[in-house]
Amino acid sequence: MIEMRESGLLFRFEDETFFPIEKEKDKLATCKGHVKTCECVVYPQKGHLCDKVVFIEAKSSAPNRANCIVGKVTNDGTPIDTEHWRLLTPLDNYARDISQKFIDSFSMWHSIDTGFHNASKGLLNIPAGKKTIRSGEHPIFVLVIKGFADDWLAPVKAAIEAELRHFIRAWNIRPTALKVVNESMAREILQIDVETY
Amino acid sequence: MIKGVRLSNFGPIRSLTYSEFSKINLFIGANRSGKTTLLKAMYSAIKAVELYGRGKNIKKINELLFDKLYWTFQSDRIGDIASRPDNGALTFSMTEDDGGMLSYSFSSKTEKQIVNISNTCAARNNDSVFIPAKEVLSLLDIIIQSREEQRFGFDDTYYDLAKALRPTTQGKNIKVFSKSRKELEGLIDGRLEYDKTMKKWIFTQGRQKFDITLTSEGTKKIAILDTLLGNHYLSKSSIIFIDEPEAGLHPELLVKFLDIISMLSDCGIQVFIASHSYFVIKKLYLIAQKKNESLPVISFGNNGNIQYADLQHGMPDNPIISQSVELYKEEMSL
Repeated sequence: MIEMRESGLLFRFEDETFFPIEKEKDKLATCKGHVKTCECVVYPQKGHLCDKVVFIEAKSSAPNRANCIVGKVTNDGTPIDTEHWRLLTPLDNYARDISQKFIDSFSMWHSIDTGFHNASKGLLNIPAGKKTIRSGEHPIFVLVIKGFADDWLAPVKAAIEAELRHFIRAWNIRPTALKVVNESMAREILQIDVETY
Repeated sequence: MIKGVRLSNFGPIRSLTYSEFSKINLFIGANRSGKTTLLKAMYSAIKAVELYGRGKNIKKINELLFDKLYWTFQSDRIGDIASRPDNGALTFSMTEDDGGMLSYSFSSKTEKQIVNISNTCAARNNDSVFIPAKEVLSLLDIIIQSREEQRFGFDDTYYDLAKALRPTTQGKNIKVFSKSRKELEGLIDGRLEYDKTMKKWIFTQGRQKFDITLTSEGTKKIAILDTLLGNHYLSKSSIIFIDEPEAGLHPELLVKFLDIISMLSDCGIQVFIASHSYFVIKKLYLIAQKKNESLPVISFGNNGNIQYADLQHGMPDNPIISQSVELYKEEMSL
């Protein structure tokens, strides 16, 4: 059993199904410092997420949609001409950051699988029996927000969902793949072994 | 401003006491739990106080109140409003922030007259209004006609609103309302106008004019508030009762509408809202947090259980939020 401590949350996973992608990515020269990843990738052998490839991100909080700032940005956040002015909220930034982590992690997982990172593959601690995401085996993206009230989760999920929309469609992933939960929902609904510490 | 109410055996409300009303107040709960009954009970009382001694009106307060209760609740006998005869008389009292109080009681056998009544409220020169869930504009003439022919159908919340919308001589905007009116008209990109030639209300957008029947329910709802502010029916000390503001309004318009309600409350208008909507609770919660002001919530449970909370201190436990969370959990489990 491996323990992972992130954002005030203590996760427990089976060794052979756990890949700490955030730490492992630094072993790859092309990724280190350039690619955003979530905390880990797991593929549980039992429970609600059994046999799914699950990308997990942990956060200690999330911003309130009501707090807005005005900025001029492109989709990747760089300032540009006034034609692209839009209302940007801290939640938008947060959602963009989280979705980028999921997208990059998913890409990296595939690139390792398909051999793009073949030269570096020996450097990575790929777990035994690494699961390949095949067509029809839909991945799951889980954001666990520590201590977040049940009724505050939906707006956060909606914001991330909006950022992930093109990615989800491009890959023909199920719309229900994104799970935004607090630790109690993670435990009770997704059967992820997690608690606060 | 209404500061508190006390009711017992009033329709579905077994017993309710609250004495901390603020500028904006929210009643939530399931269907037939009592929230609209409370709204109407308070409206009937404040309207009776407003009409008492006004102009050439020589009716006594108990006559005015009887009329208002009879036509607002539209029961054959007002005693029928007291739904639990075994529990004794229906009682109601309402206190204002200046200490004035209106209180009355009657039994389930009452038919024609309210005998036990006491009124120490100061005369009110303001007009309060009830904005019902359904729109009134396209049925204005029918509503007024049916009431004037003494027929049941549209209760007095509709009738009073229909009368309040009657075209009057329009003066300049009351200054404190001008910003709110601008925002309201911005929301619907137009305004309501009475066409004297056609003798009906029309909705105008720039140079375009639309028959009111072609306008959406939400637009009409916003246009009604704009008109009441513009025709001077509402003043700084008016009280607005809104039943289900979410009816006919898209959530995006709804939250902006509530921002304007908040603006009006800053001008002095007191607001009571009954709602089923998660968006309403959440938006009012955010308003309470931003202003750091009390925003009381009375939550009606199905079993007659009533809970009191304040959005200044957090979101209350209630069936609307619970249902929304249950749906969310269901989605997470897919």
